[in-house]
Amino acid sequence: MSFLSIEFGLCFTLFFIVYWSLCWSLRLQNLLLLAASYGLVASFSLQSLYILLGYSVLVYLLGLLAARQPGRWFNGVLLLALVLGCFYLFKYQEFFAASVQGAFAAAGLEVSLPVLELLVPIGLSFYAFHSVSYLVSINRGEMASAPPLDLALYLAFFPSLIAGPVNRAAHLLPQIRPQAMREVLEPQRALGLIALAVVKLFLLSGWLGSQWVDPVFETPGSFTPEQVLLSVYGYSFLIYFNFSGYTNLVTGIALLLGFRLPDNFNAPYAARNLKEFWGRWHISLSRFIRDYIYIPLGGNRKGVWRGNLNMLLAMLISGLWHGASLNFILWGALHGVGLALYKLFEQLWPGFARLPGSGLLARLLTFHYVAFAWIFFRSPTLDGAWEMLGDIAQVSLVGLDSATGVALLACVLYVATYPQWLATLRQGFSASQRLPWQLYPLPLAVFVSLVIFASQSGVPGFIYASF
Amino acid sequence: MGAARTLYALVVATGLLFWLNQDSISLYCQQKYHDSCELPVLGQLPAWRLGAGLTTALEQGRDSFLDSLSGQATVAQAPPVVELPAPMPVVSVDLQAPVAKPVHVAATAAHPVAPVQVPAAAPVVVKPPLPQMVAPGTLASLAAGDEVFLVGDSLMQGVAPHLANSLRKRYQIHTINLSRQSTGLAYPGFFNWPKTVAETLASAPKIRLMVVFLGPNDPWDMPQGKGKPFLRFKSPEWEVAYRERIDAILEQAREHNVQVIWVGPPNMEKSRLSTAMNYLSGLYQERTAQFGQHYVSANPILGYPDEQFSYTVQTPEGKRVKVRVDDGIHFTISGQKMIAAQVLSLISFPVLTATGH
Repeated sequence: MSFLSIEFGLCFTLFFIVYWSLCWSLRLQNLLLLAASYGLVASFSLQSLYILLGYSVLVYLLGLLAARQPGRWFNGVLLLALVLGCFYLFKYQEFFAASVQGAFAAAGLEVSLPVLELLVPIGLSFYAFHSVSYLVSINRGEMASAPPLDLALYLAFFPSLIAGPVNRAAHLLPQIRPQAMREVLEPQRALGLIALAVVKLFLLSGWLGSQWVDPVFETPGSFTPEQVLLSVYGYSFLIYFNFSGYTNLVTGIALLLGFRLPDNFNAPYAARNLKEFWGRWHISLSRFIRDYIYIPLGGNRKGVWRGNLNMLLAMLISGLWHGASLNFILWGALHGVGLALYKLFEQLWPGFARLPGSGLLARLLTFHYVAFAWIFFRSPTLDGAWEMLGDIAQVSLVGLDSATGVALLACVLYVATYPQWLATLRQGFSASQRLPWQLYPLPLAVFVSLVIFASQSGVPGFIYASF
Repeated sequence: MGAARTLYALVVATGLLFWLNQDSISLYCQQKYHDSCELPVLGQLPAWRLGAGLTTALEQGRDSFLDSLSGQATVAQAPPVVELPAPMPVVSVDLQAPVAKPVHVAATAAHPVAPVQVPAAAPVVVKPPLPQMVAPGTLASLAAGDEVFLVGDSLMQGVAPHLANSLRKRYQIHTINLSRQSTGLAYPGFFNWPKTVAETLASAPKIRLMVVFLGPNDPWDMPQGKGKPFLRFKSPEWEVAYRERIDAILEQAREHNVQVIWVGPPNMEKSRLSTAMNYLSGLYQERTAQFGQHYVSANPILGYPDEQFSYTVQTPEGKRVKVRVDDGIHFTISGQKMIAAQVLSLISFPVLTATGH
């Protein structure tokens, strides 16, 4: 069931009524949340539910062990075995088996690795991350192990189960067991966020996908170089609208249930360098990778080269997490190398940021580098990505003298003036929040209707739900 | 307190959204739950219908605005290369084809038709669409400058890019791909393929081949008009209506001298859906034969014998390849490529292959 479907809207309204009529009992509210979360998983597939249940039991047992023997080496090993085992079994079997077989075949050996046919359980990537945060915190002695039902809800909490944001145990578990009675948090902002999600998902990402992006990425080569470039700009906006829209949606839903999810986006294309970009894009994942991969690898404590290597490794792992293909690995590598180059640049020319116009130049450069890397991220095949790059290399002044050229210029101007747009939009959003609560739903519903009216039909997909 | 206010906002906003979008919601409901989903009393009240009226008026305003705008744009410059059709207005298919008395359609040896005894539409004169040379082993032929038109649902959406890429790279043939998820022939109010095909063939005269691949969205009861009961899936009336829609597409192809390769949907994981696909395939096969066009089932392409379903197939090299994704309906990239390759192998490209590429 998609979070943006009519069915979900109706179910949620009913759920909302029952949930808040139980506000006198945290225990019942939590049980209801857990049942709803499991119901949602089961609506995708029963098998996904069984796997989530099994995973939760294992995490609970590991949590008890880590609480009894904190700081011992085997806690880390068991956790790693659990997470890597699940990822291998459900996400990477085919990719690794094919790669290993290919490598042996190149050496003239025929090796056949067993591949079990398993369906990828819904939400696995995210509850696996949640379990890492939980078990590491216990192992470090930062918290006690949680009661089984609290832990089950922490792992399965439905707003963040399917596509994040990535929660931390220290942040979400206390909200599952709050000191005072739960209440709806910032109701008007929550509804505003859901409306914003409708704009971003139905209207903007839907339109960009069908008009600028999908035709080109699916059949690269039948378009002019300018159209190919436009599709890359288009995809850069699309993935932002899609994913940040999704985050707005689940953040709004969680607020309505009395929960606060971690921040995930903060105007990423306003970043002036890649480091800043990763502080603004999928923030909860970036921080997860920093805290649980980059720093344990040694971070930047072991010299410049080792630091850069760790960063590259962390970005490669991030790439591989997004999908088992060379394209995603290349995407990760491009970001790893880009970050290292930025560090080098910063050391060679520390005064750059003080030059007039440097901010604008830095933003445009960062956006274009990120957009360049998105080509590999979106392209279904590596050949397709190379072909598109070859096409873009042929962009000419003559070709730019067209409607596509005007659209390209508009994209660049949009990125250039992004901070101004952002300020205006944020003012507009906060102005809408000052409407009296009795009136608020009317303009909200009319606004959403207009957005749906201007959008294409169909329930939009969430890109990040498949990672 | 906060919860009560929020509930008030939720209910008011939801009510308003339903009021304004009642027609789209009803179409969505038809397409997904195969039921008219009309609200018992409220649905007929003028005050309730006013919401739908407002939206319809707004839609008409938008359409005429876009029409006049695009009318000017076409004078100024060429239309964009790829353009998805705008969402179709609510138009019920009105194909008042004379229904003849029940005729048993005999299965031919070359095209073993599922033995369905059904009332067929008026007999159609069988005429091959083009007097072109079709190479042995192929069903259709294309020449330089011809275009290919791809029609279908999400099955076609997966296959289309591979077809389009190969056609372009190997033969420099342009493709018009209008495939769109959740579409079929059963819910013309949601998306009307006969109408879309008619418009596309009229506006793109270079189209010489149409490849159709759909089915899984169709095996349900279907609406026959506002206020009337739904036609039961597989009932004779259902079949007549469905057949008319297949015919409408094939008729358009014949009028524009376009060859058709109709790809029948393969077996599905769920047996109910799989049986239904078999039944629909029988109709596609029968109608395409009647029009002298071509039908290929996706089953042999994926190596499925009879009514079996499998996620994987054995390639001639002995490797097991996954061809279906986990939903048991759609294809993996390998599966999409296999189907695209098979369809391509049915087309001969005499002039272009001779020049080599």
